[in-house]
Amino acid sequence: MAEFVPPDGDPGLLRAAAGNFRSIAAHFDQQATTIRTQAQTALDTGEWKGGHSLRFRAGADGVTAQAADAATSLGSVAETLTVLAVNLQTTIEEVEKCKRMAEHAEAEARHDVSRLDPDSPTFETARGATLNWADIAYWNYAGQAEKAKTRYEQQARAAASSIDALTDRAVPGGSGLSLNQIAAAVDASTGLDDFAGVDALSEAQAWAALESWTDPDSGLGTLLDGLNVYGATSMAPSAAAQWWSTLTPLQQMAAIRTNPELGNLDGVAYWARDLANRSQIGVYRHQLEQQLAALRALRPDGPTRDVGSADREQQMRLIEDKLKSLKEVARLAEQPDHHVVGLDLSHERAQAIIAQGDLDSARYTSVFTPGLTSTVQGMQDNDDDMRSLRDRGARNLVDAMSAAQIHAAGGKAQAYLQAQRQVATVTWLDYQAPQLSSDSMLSTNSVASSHTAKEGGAALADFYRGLHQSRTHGVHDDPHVLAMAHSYGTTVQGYAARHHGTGIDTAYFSESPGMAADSADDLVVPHGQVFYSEGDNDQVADARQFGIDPSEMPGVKHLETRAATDPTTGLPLAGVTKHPFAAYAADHTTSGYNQAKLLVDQQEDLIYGNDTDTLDDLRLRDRLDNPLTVGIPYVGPGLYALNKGFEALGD
Amino acid sequence: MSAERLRAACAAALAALALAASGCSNGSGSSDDSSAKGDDVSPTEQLLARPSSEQAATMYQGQLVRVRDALKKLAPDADWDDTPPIKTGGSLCRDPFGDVDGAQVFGLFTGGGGAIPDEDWDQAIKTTAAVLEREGYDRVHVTVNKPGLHEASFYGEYGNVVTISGQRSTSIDLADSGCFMSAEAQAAARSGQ
Repeated sequence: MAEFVPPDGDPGLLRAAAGNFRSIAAHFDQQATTIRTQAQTALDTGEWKGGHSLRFRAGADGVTAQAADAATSLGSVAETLTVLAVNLQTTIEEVEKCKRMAEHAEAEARHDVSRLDPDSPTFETARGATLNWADIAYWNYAGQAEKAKTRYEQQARAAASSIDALTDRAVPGGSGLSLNQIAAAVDASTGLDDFAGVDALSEAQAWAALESWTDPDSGLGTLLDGLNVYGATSMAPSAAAQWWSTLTPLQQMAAIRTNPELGNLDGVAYWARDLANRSQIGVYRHQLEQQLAALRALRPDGPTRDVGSADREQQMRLIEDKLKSLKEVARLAEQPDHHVVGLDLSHERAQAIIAQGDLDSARYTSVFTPGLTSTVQGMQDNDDDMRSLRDRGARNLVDAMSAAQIHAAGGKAQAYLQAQRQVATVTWLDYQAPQLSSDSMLSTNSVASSHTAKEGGAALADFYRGLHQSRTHGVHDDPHVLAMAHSYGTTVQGYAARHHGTGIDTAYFSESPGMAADSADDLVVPHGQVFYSEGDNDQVADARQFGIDPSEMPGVKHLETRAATDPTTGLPLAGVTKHPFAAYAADHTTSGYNQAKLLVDQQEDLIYGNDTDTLDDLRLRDRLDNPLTVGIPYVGPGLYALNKGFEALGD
Repeated sequence: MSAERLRAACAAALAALALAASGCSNGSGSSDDSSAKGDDVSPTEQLLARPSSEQAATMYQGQLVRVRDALKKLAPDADWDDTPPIKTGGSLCRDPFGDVDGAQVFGLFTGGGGAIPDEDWDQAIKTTAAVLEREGYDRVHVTVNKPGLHEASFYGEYGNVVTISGQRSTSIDLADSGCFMSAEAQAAARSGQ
């Protein structure tokens, strides 16, 4: 299988070389400090004056600066080599995996063919089709392996060019020298030998150290462990983003390894959060299983119930739910282009944030907050909705391209891939969404209480700030952010949008029992960028539990939810008549169409409407008939009567 | 119970009724039961009888390439892709396969940067139907077929759907693959049986 030859090179040697460069850099950093200290000591005696002392000071300053500059450049070389080592290792593994898959496909095909009946009239067709599949699979995997190798070669060429430039900066002509020659050249150029007595010991120590540093097993791991990156989990998003941007790639990796709680720190890059959270899934599972086993061991034999058994059984149920949640997160994490950018088991129920696409680079990003009874173990539905939304957003971007642009992108499929990379969607369930159990109903976590929405809103605001700040301090520009929420989630989002600094560009609410606002102006969102959808006969919005009905809210733009026609294609779009978000997000619906247009900021194509529904009209009529009921929440004919009954109870 | 507490309890019940009557959960209430409804064969066994997801991807890639090749003959100037169809994403399977380990749904995509001429679309649909009929697709739905806008979907045995559509450019889309287990998951399930 000549197609699956891994790229030349040895990641271990690259890591060893990186360690050597880093050590040399550390050595010259130390030299610079020594020279500075010794020179200052000599000058501080006050007995050495005149022109010689001034020239000495100038020389010492120059030498110090030169050594420090060389140390910085060589340190950058070490980082470049380290990244290259990781890339090489990844590429070798990818090529090997492609080879295994190709071999597997061929073996499966041979096996399948061997099981065919040669006397069957369809034998030749089936045999041909099977072998054809295997052939396509083989070349598909070979193509993937080739792509990985090409990608690595590009990275290696870029790294070599970067290393040459950095080395030449440290030592002119240094890119053609060996490591030892570089070290000697830097020593010579600093003129350390001219300062007898200043550096004799450190130079001897340096060369001794250089010998030990050539051991490929030493260096990197120790260096990682030695980095001080603890205590960073309680920063504000802006501080965290700033701190994260000051770390070298090596330090960032060390930070993730030593402090996986960074997976929930808003402001940290999302690739790092994903890595940290994935590393914790197994750890959490083990801890929960141990807790569960311990509780089970306390159960008495037989049917008798001991004191405290109800409490214990409740604890066990919560742990079992968390285990189910972890399983769901692990399953979602395995899906293509999925990232676990939040995972928190410290509350009664698990919380998680799942992203699709690259939040560190995507140009268009949506964050969806689900509502009542949402749980992590049930996140698949939301994840499906977000996948579908991302797909429609990407297709919208492709549809806006000309034939020439598609051709320039490398064809229709490549144009789609490029568009898809520009779009990311997030399901944000990093709050304790109210449940319908009797305990929950009477607690501060009740659906009737705003307590949870306020707390969730603050956390959601921090997530938005993290997105905004990580981009501000990152490589890519700030994305266009669409904040999306449904039902009780809209109340959480309403509280979030009242915070400053979230960077929300557009806010979309559907079927809201209240946005915790009386006007769009209460939300810190650009003027004219608050949109609302309400399906016909969907009673949740009319409950007005947390603010006035958004159908009547000043400054809100109303989107159509009834059946309509796609203005760009003329295709029919279905209306929404059910409450679940899936009904609002479905393909080929007016509501789903509008969401995808908002996602990629194609607002000129939106379908607007009047989202007052039958119940809104009833309420209006009721007000006209009976002015005394103005201001009383209206929640449907039956519920209205109950609501009126509250007045009799008094406060 | 005090009036205040009664009021709070009723308020909670009221709001919950309004929210829950129509249900706005993300599906946490969905069944954990992995058994196939109304079927004696378990969901895992059903998926073990299907190709692995890797085999299915290869199979579908072949189908989309054959459709593309056929349409290319019909409209050679539509700037057709010449690379294998790309995966457009993946997700977990729906019930009754929702709880089967290593089971997933995926999509594939290819097409052309140019358009098939309007007058050739009737033939394009017939050609695609002929290619896919040999692959087990037994139902066609023409969503729209008018000048400047064309779309038809073809339905297969696993719930798989291939859609061809054209406006300014042309798309050949496996929008839904149906559910398949990875080869690794199949092997694990077989060894556990």
